[in-house]
Amino acid sequence: MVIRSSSSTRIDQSPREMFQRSNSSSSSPPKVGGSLLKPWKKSSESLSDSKKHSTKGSSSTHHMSPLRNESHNGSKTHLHHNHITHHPTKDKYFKDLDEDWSAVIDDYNMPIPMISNGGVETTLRPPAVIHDESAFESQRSSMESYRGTGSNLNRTISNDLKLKYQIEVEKDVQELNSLMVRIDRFKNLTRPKDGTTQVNLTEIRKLAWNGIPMVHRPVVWKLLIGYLPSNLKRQDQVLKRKRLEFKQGVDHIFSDNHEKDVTTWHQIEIDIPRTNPHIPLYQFQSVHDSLKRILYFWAIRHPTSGYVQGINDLVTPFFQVFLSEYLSPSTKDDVYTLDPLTYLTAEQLSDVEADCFWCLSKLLEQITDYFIHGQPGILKQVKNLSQLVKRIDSDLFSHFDSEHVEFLQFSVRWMNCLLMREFHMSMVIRMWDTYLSETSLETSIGSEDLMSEGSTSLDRKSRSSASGPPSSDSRQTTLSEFHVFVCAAFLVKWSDELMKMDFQGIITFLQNPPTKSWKESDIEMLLSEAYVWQSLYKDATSHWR
Amino acid sequence: MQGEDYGYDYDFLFKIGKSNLLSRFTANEFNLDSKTTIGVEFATRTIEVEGKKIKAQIWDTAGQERYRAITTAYYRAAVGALIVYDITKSSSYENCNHWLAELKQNADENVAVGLIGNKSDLDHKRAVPTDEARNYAQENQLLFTETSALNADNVDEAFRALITAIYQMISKNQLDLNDTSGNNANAPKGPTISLTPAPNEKHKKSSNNCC
Repeated sequence: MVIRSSSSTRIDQSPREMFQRSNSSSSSPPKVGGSLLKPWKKSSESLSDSKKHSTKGSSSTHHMSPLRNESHNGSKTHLHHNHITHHPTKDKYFKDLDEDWSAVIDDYNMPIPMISNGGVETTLRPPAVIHDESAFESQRSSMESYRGTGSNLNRTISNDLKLKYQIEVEKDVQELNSLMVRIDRFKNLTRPKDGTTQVNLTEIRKLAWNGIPMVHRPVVWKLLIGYLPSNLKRQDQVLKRKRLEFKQGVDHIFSDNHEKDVTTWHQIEIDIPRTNPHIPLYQFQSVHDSLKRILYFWAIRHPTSGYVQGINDLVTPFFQVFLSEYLSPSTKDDVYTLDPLTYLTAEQLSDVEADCFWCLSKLLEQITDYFIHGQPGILKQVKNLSQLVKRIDSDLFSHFDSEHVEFLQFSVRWMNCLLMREFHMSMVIRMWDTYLSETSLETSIGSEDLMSEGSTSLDRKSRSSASGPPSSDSRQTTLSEFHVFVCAAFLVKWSDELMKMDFQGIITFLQNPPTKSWKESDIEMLLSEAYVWQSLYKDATSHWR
Repeated sequence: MQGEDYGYDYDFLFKIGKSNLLSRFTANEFNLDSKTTIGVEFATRTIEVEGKKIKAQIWDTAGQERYRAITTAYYRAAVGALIVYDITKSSSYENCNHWLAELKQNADENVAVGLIGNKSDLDHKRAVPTDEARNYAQENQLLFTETSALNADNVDEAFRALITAIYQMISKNQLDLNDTSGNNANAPKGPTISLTPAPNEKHKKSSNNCC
């Protein structure tokens, strides 16, 4: 395939990337972990240094995560070696699962997090649109109008930089090729051509951990979270039924036959207008109405928890990813700015709402105890985080202690909104590729309210135990558990800065951490670091579950 | 209770809350597009009272009932608190009783409490008469002010009044303690509370809302 990348003046800067840059003119280079222990200590030194040399687009391919270093330089610790090994033997476990919620997710075969090309889609547009200059232009202008004033960076580029620019273009071409390979792999996995009826969820999970191309994200997310059955023959039927069920449920709760829960409705009504207030999408009345329907219906169906602030945040990644399914590859970024009713019929919007509702249900099922009375799940997570930080960065822990900083004071929001408030939406979506790949085995088991037919939960349990006890080289984890490691990695990333601050400085800093310029490579580094910590402190977390 | 009346005013409901009251005091900022408060949020400002610099560390607590397990943890170390209601919503005023009880149950007995009727700029939509709230405040020994986070009316005054009350209370306690043993063992526990009325003394309080 020929890629006419050089024909476009700004091929190396996608609208989406420009969007991400809109808040900052300088890009923060990825941090390099030189050693497994306290990689961030070194990284912050190299940070200031590399900042001087960093230019736009000089992305992270040469930076490697600690894990990646290991896999190339030979294993420094035996610990990770296990994860590098591929285990092809577990696949048969999926063969006989065919009912709606059969997307039982295996914890084996977790991939090695790699920084290299996981997020190439941020820096490059899908190949299909390379030849479509007009679409590119229109998309660009729409993004520019959104951003206010367009950047003319490349138009005024000096001759000195042209050579460098050329090199970057070459590199982007390579990345683009790599992206196409990835897109093809996802395509083959989600729509196998060899006549098999079952998608290989283990493989999808492994691949998705490192990032999902935008075009495949809607379907892959639905598979990962266990909404879309892995049996291809049943997918259409299940979607149809689930969407109908949602529609009928919503019709009912907004009819006269339903006595409105005034408190819940009021809370949702006042929260919706302040959900993602900085993203144009969430200002449209149609979107407000959609989110209200999803959240109110969810609250009514889950009375033990009910609607809790923060759930309004958690539904939005689903919402815009599923909306993007209805946009052509060249205009997927427009999801941030367009009123959905300009490209969707009311019926299609209802389908999107239904998909969001079911996926939100699946997500919250994994963290139900965050939101029930007393929020025990959050308190537990906060405690786990503090214990973890005590072990991985005892200096920082002691410093917090001497400054009387309590983890409760800054990390409740991290848990409650899964760090969504800390990052730009596009970063959150990339993060969720990994998070949804961490969806726990239990998610598809015993969710009574979601199971409408199929085998009994006993069958499911016996089948899940048939997958065998976790062996020493397996990776049994949950989204919730992994999240604590991400939070820990996030916190110790700022260790150097925090050590110099007093109580007030620490709380203020952590309330508004400097992540505006973060790119996908930064998020991927964070996820990789979390993975390393999780591997290292496996023993410390066994009692969490 | 509400019946058919869903007459919530979208234009103002989400725009003027306790978070904005706090940001108005600490940064003289008002955000039209602030997000919901999850758990607690923190802000600080140093003001001068009777010639002493006093740093107030203020926790803005989430309004939703569900967060009480987390927010009540902040009452314990607080030396002052503000209970905020919306003058255009009688239900929010009625909730103040509940918040006061919550505070008395969880906070130190000497905690200084102020009652604030916010959104005074919406006088034409007033549902809670000033006199009624003032009487309620007197009965319960609360400071009382009506404020507008939107146009900044009385915001500074409300916070200053509370901080001054805290300062005076703590100065008095300091004298009492000196009179006896000079031992501070009975002092409220908390990172930012000092019974020594010295420059840069820090006070801490939490700001609560009832809506």
